[in-house]
Amino acid sequence: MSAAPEMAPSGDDQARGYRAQTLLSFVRLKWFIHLRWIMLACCVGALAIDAVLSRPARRPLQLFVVIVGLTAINIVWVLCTSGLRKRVREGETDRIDGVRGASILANAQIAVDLFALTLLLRYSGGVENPMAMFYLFHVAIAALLLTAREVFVHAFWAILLYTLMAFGELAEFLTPHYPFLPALPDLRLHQQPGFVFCAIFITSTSIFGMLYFMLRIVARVASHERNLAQAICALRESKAAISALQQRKAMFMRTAAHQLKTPLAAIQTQVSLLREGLVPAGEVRTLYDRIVARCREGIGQVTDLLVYARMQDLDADRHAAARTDAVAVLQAVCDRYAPIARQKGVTLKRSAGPAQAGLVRVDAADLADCLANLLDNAIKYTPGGGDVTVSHCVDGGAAVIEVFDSGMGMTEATRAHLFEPYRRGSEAILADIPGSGLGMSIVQAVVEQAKGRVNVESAPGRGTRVRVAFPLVADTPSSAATWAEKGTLGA
Amino acid sequence: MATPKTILLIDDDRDIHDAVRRVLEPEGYRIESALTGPAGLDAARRIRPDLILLDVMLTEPSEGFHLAYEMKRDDALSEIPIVFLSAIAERTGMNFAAEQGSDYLPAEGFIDKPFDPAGLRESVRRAFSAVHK
Repeated sequence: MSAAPEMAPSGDDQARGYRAQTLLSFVRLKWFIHLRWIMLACCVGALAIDAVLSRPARRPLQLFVVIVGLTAINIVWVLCTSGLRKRVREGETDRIDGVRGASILANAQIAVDLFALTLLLRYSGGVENPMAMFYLFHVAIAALLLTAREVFVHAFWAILLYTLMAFGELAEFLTPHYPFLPALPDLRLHQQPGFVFCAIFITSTSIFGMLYFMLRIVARVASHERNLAQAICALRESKAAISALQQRKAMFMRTAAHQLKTPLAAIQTQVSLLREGLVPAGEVRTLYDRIVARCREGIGQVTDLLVYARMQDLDADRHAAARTDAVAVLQAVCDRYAPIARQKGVTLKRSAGPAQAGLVRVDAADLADCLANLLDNAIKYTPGGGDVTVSHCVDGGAAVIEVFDSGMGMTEATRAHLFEPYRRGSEAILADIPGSGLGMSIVQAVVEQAKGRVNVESAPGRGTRVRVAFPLVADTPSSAATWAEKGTLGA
Repeated sequence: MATPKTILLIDDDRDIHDAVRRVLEPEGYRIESALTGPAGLDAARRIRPDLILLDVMLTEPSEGFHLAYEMKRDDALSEIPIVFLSAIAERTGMNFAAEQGSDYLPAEGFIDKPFDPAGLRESVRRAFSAVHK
């Protein structure tokens, strides 16, 4: 098809270009087949009128055979086109082959149509028949369906057929001659060389004139049409993407509802046990403590869900305008978690690279949420007596903050789903470590929105190292905040 | 004295294990526990319980369903009745049937969390009586 060599260069655009081209190819073929049905109906109508006006003269049988033959051939075209389209839709034929197949079908149809038109002319007046203008019509259609080179071939094919017919009648190779209007006196124009040459000349120049103008127009229209078809394909993709997003959101809502319901369900069940006297007196206090822990878990779930929802709702551009002192935020978060670590017997250490992280393009509250989750996880998954080391440095134009713990680590399977909301590793469940399942999703959301990076290294029993990097504000000095002396924080 | 019926509880919530134990052990059942899907499958193969109480959302969403299908495909376990025990009620919009594209839910019962002790006892009793009809 005419647009094939000019399709989009690569990647998604190229794929979309092929899809658009396939769509256009089949739409045009369908339209061409419809036109042929209309033309055949017009032929039948014209013959009916002619039968009334030209009575008692009769048209030759061959004329009717050509029309019936063309009807049969059009049915074949319908079957070929729908079969090819079905194969492309079902993926049995790829789109490139689909476009090629449609092009072959279009070429075959034009060639057969021109031959059939010549036969119709031959049996209804030859060069005397003014319906030779239908050659122009076919050239115009060919210009819409085919490449310029192919249209030229068909133009020559049309002129060749017309010339052979005209000279055949002139030289009386093709006999007998069938008059255009049998009811009128026969002027025998097909036997007059001057008329025959004029007819061939006028038909040929008209065909090439039409060819020239159509190719000019089609080139412009095709460009717009291609863009439109690509836009339609893009729209369909967007619709599918929105639908998938809605499904993911619905799934997230269900999961979130389940996660929020879980501690509440446990609390209600525990209260039922107390109410029915199923808990021995000596264990009541322990159960109350569990209920308090589950309440705390529920509150944590809601808090994390709110933070996560805020990340999703806010405009990511807020990070671009931010100038946050990474070290100051890190210091504040470490101060907040130092008592928790101390209570658990975990040593919270800090270290720094040669260059202190300075101002970063991350919203301060988001950075604090991100770092808080990293420290929270590190302390939770490190048993008493272990270490959590927090460090920062500047690397490749980014502020890099690293949290390394000597805790339980995780398997590759857990690490693979680490950032998925509400996915918790079996290690955490077996070790009875509470968590909302949203912490690392929040970390990832902050990092992605601020155009940063996150990297996780972990192995079971060998601890976990999480490194987040955020873009530095260009040409800014190192942090003004005081990073605590090397050693244990909050000790 | 009759051997007590064994119930295997597969759930990632320790408080639910504690509650189920407190409710069902006085009824004469023996409770075995597993906190994850793989551990639950191992336990089921090892102890061949008389009933499995199975949470739907374990380490992964819908893991309970997959586990139930796996057990029903296992000749050694397929006869053991399974009762889902989950906070995923129909109210949350989870469509169980959609999991396999049919109306087949590979379980003999469903208990919605939170459960009350009487409701749990009744559901377990009903599951056993359905199997032994």
